[in-house]
Amino acid sequence: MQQYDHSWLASQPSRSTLKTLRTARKRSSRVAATVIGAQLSTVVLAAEVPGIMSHPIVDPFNVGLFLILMQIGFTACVIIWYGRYAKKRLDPASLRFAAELKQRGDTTHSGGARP
Amino acid sequence: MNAQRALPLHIDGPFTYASPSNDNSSVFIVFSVFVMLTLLFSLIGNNSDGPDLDEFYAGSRRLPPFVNGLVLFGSYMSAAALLGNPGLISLSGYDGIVYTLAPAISWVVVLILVAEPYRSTSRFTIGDSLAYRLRPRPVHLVAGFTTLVISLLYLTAQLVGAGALAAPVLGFDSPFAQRGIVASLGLLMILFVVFGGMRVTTLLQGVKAVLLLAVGVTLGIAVLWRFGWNPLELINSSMRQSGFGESFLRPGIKYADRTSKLDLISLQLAFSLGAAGLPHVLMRITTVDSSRNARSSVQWTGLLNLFFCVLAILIGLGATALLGRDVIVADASSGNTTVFLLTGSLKSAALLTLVSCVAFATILAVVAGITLTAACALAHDIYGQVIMHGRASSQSELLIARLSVGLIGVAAITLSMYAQHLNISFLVGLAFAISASAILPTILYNLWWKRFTTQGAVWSMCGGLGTAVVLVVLSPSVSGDPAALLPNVDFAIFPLRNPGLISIPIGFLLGWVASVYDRRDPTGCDYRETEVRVLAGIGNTRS
Repeated sequence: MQQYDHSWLASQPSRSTLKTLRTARKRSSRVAATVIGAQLSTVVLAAEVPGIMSHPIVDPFNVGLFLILMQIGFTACVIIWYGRYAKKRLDPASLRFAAELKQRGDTTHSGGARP
Repeated sequence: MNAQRALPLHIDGPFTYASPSNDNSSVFIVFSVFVMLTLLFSLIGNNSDGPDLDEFYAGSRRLPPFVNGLVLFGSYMSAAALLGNPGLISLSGYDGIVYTLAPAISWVVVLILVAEPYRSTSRFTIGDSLAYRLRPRPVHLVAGFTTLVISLLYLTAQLVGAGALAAPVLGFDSPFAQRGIVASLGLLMILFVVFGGMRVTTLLQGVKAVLLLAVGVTLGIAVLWRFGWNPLELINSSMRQSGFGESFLRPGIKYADRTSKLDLISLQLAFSLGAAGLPHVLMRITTVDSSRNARSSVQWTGLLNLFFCVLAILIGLGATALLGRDVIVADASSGNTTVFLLTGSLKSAALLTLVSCVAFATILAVVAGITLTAACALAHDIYGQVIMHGRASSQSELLIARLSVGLIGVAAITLSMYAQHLNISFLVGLAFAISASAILPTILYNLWWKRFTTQGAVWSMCGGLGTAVVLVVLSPSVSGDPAALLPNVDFAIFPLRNPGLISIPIGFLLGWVASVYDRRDPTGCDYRETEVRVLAGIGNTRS
């Protein structure tokens, strides 16, 4: 496999920007896991404790229906949130990182898949 | 697709929604206009002056994010999303709603964990993304083969669904006519993809997405209008008309016993994770010019899927409330004719014609996207990278890609004709399970884990694929059940119909174990450059 010079990654600004990006990505990954976890929890609860899910809240809604509506709303909010989060937290750091690369004249990352 | 559900639509009722004479011809005319206009626009837009892989596989990556999001929505939503999901909700209430929701939820995984890093590391295929840091030949081979398996399962399910629609929509009851519909749609698919590649596929999927949304919104508005714009009245009325009372919107109508509950959990796991590994979804992510635009595209797709999920709930509950569950069951016990029944009750011949055309257009658009993905896997991964060691010329790869479209198309048509009257409704669930068991673990490990190795990728994909297929072969979907593929034999030793609950953890586990104990790459394959692309979204921008 073709090897590239990665010495630029040892520089402090690059390391610090990458660390910022790692932290920001971890946070959003946890949110994704929460959405999937919530969906699967609803299914498991419906299968294992249907009595609780059938408990009425406000006519005609029961706990199960309420959780489904919450899940739809929560998922929509997460999708919109991530777009804003990425623009605010991920994109500036990415652009900073790209500028650092450009400054170092590294052309390896400018585009195109590895041959 | 929402994919969601099993087209193969098992439409078993006596009802024909179009009269044998006039309305049939109107469906034919409108569908022909749709096909002709798509061909015309694709010819007008064709300014390509020679063989170009980027143009054929990725449509030159010029789509704006919203348009790509809409097209991705069109690529993902099968006819089952329009016909099957509202039908299931109309029959099963709460259980149907839960079932419908999972494929829409899965877009969060695509958005947050896959879209941007995948766009930054892949040129066309899953194999490209993996080969960025892993040994190219083994990963191209295994990824190409897995893509082919998923695509063929999906294609067969969709084309069988087209034949199943022929009876209720067009009044064609004879097996010969139904096979004719399958062959015609299959040949149209081959024609579109061979000559237009991704550009025509994009056009088909975009027009279909707009029509699908238009039909969904029209039916949703009609239902709400019938209930005085009062959703509570709609819900109360659906409970009354279901025959189950309040139990209609409680868990347990469809999934009541222990095994079926486990099956639901397995299916939900496969649907919740599977979308993020579907090859035709991943290929569509590469049709924009940057990782940021890939993110925006997937955001739109996710929101459109959720919106359509809400529409499906409205339509499904509306059908129960307006028609009564007994009427729906009497027409087709699967509920797959619910949307036609509801549209018929609105007394609008134009809307009924439009719904029928959208059903066929949906199938055509989905199969075109899947065929292109499969052809890309065969030509780019297996021919270009494995057989030719990455030294194939663009011209030769393009020729192989076009031949592959024909080959895959003919194989799918043949399989679909053979399977026309078999119960293959498990195929879509199996495709999602393979996607979540074989492709998703490999992609996530490759993009996010520095210890991942080539051995891990091969084990994860082969293990996930093999486990899912073997478990389904040993399940009641294939034998030991009157509704099975082979009802007269019984070797069903695995109780669940969907293997996801077992095969997904096995796919992840094998990828981890094989990487950690890989003697060739004890610390994992070089992750530094991949990490930069994944974290910073740099790379593979259109020049």
